[in-house]
Amino acid sequence: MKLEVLKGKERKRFMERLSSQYGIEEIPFLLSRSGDERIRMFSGSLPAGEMERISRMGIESMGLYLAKDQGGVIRLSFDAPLLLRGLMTKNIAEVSARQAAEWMKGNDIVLDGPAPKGYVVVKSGNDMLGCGKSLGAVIKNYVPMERRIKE
Amino acid sequence: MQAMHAAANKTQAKMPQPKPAFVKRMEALLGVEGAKEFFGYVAGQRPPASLRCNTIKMGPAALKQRLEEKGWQVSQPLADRPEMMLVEVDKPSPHALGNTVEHMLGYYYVQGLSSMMPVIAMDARPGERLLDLCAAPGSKATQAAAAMGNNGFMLANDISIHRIKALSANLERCGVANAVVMIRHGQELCRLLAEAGITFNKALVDAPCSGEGIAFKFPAVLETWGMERIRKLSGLQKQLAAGAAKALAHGGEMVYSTCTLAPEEDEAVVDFLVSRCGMEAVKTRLPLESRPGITSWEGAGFSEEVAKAHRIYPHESNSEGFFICKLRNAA
Repeated sequence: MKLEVLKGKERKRFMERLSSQYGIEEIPFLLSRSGDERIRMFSGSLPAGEMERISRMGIESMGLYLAKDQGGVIRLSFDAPLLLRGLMTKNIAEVSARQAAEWMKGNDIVLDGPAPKGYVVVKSGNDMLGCGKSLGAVIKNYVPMERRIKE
Repeated sequence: MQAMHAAANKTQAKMPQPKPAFVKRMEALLGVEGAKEFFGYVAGQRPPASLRCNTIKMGPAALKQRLEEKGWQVSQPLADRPEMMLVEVDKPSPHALGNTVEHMLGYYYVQGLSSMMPVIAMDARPGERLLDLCAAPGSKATQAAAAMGNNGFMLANDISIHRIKALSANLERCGVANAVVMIRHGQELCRLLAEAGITFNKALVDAPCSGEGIAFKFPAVLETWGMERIRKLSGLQKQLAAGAAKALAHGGEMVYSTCTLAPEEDEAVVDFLVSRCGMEAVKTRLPLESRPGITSWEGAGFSEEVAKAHRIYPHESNSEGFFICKLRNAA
């Protein structure tokens, strides 16, 4: 993985989109781009010079997968919402325990009433269940295959 | 419960006989009666199901409550280690523990009690720099990240892409954000780190081994057991441990661990680290029953330092067999 740290204007633009979509004002971690669309966050501390030297050895990944940046629209990863829960204030869809159980099996959620369209964080009680795409009446499921409950 | 006994009986029926040389060695380590108890455990017993609360995502009290609401019986055998839990599930099946919402959300890691001991011995702290040289599939890496408060810096390495996939999946699931993952032969990685002038406070070498301590889980261990394999592994383990020792800052600490009981892979490696790599063993206390490292084997003597190591036997601890030794870089 080529380490591309998000700096300056690029980081500012990404944070502005995170704020606009999810209300996240700041992430106190290093952000890096992995491939074209994936953004990762690193909560560790490593002097810049050492990070450069380690990067040259060839790294597979750094930190946690945070989000996919799809041309300005951000879809948070399955695990990011739980770690960022205290920072999010927007586009959170509260679902019932029954709906959460279906969601975790990989099924879409049929909403009780119309909702704004776009990516939303699915929440049930204290559990943050990743991001889905609201189509208005339904939230499309994005739970990764390996994290779904098997019948 | 009936299903569990049926599965255990099925495994018992399939369990290969240990090779005579293996029996003889265990008799030398444990005495005739002790060896009988050991092989009796291997043939027919299973430790209770256990898991570790992933404190990056949830506290032990909250997890215990969640699991009890599912109808599970949960106990915490050690008062000062509430994250270590024994569980009896409501629907016994081989996959019950791994197929819950709580597991998928990374609230816990299914891990044997003995397997939690190397990281407890290492005592990783927030802000430290840790090298986990043979990190896959990630039980100890995720445990260490939690102990570090998900900060500092962890370099988690393993040798193959196949193993790294499992490691990466577990790091993601457990919310570990302070790790850099690499795919390298451990010895080569240590050489690169030395050339780059990068050192660590702590290192964990949970080395590939012959697996004698987990034969009850993996009957193939009994089939593949052989002295040629043990000798080869011992050579590899010395290379890995020596490399990790070089990656430590002065005063840095390493934990060397295996899930085997062969002295060639255990005390001989510690002896090598002490006599050739400028390391000194550190006395540690572990919350599981263990015996000290042995100071001689088959006519060869080891440094008295190896007595500071821990030998955990499955039939004594009711958990996996493990060898654990903490060492400090005194060079």
